[in-house]
Amino acid sequence: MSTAPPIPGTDAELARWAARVLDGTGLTVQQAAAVAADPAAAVPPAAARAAQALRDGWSAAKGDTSP
Amino acid sequence: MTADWYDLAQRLYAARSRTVVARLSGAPVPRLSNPVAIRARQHRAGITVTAAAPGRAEATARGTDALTLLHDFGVRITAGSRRTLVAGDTSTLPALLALAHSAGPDGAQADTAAHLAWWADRADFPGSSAVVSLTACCQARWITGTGPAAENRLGTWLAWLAVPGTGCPAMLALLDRVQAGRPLTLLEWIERADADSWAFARRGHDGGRDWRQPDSTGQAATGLRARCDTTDLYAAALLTDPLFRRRAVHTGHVVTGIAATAPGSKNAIIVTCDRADARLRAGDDITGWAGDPGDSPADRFAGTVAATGISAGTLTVTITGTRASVTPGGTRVTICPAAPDPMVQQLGRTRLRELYRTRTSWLTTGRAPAVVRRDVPLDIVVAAAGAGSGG
Repeated sequence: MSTAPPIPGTDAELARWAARVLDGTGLTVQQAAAVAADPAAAVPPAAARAAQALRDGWSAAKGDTSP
Repeated sequence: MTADWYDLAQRLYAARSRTVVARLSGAPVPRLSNPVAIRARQHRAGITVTAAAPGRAEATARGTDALTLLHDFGVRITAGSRRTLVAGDTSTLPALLALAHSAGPDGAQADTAAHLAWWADRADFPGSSAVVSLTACCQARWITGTGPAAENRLGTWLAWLAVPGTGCPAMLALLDRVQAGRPLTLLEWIERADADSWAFARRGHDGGRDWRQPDSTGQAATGLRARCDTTDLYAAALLTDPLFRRRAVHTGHVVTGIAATAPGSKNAIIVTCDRADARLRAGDDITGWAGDPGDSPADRFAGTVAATGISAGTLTVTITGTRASVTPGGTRVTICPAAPDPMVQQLGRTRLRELYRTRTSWLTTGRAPAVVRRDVPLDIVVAAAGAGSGG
C-alpha cells in the first residue's frame, strides 16, 4: 500500500470536477462524500440516483484499494 | 448513466485515504518481455530521444544519433524479437515517427525506422503489447483522488503510486506496477495478433517493401477491420474483470435483475432488471450467471436477447437459447454481452482480404451491387414524404 505525497493543486482540481458532476443533484462535495460513506444518510429526492451510484462506488473502493 | 457519480465516490475515497483505488483486479496489458521506455521530443534543432530498458542505463541522443541509439536498444525490425514501446506522454510516438521518416532507405537506420513505423501502426490497437501508454494503462487500472485531467500526466501517477526515480527508469518501474498480477482474459489473443503483425512487417522489410508507401485499398480495409475487432475484444476483456463489471452496471453494459421462466418455453427466461438504462438490444448474444457482477462463477449460461420492453418503468429482457432450468424463477442474475470469438473475427478478416484480392468481386471491380427492391414500411414513407416537403 502506497501513500501519495500532497500534490499541489489537485484538491482544487477534484473539487471543480466534482461540482460539475454533482450539478443538478443539490449535493455539495462534502454532502456527496457523507452520502457515499453512510448508507443511512438522508438524501434529497433529486439525489436518489446519485446516492445509489456514490454508495456503489465507495463500497467497491473499500473492497480493494491496493495497487 | 450514473458512472460519473460512481467515479466521484471512488475519487473521494482515494482523496480521503491518500491511496489509489483499483478499477481492475487484473493487468490491462500482457506481461512484456522486451520493454523500452522512451521519451522523444521534436525541437527546431532536431528530435531528441531518451531511452532506457531493463538492465540498460538511460541514454540520450539527437537526430540520426537517436536512430543509432534506438538500434543499440534492439529497436530494429531485423531483431530476433520485437520491443515494446513504453511511453509516458502523447508526443513521443509522433516524434519517433518523424524520426523514422528522416532515416535513409537502407542499412541499420532503415531497420530501426521500420520498427518505429510498426509501433505507429500498432498504437491503434487497444491492449496491444507493441505500444504501452502508461497514463492510459494507469487510468484503466486505478483511479486517484484528483480530477480526471490530472491523470493524463505521468507525474500524477508516479506520485500517487510512490514510484521512485525520474525519467525513463521511473517509467519502467511504473510499468512493473501496471503489469503486476494476472493479465485480463482475452489479451493473449491481441498479443498473438501483435506477433502476426510483427512477422508480416519483418517479411515485408526483408522483401524490400517500403513502409512509407500508402496501404492499398484492401490493406486499408482489412486494417480498419482489425482495429475494430481488437477494440471489441479489448472491451470484452475488460468485462471479464469483476471490479470493472461493478462499475459497468452504471454504464449499462452489465445488467442485473431477477430471472423468471418465460411462459410456455423451456428455452427462454425473462429478466426483470434493476435498472432501465441497459444497453442490451434484441439480437445481442449474452452470457450470464446466478449472482452479482462481482462474482466470477465458472457455471454460466449463454443466450440471445429476443426482446426488451418497459412496463411501469421497469425494464424486462427476454433471453432465448438458454435452458430455463439453469436459472430457477426468482434467481438473481447478472448479464453482460458475450465476448466475440477471436477465431470468428480472424475468419472474417481473412474473407475480407480474399474479397479484395478477387478480381471479380464487386469490391475490386468498383461496380455497384445490383439493386434489390423491397417493401418499405409505411411510417418510413410518411417520414420521408414529410422531410421532402419541408415539414
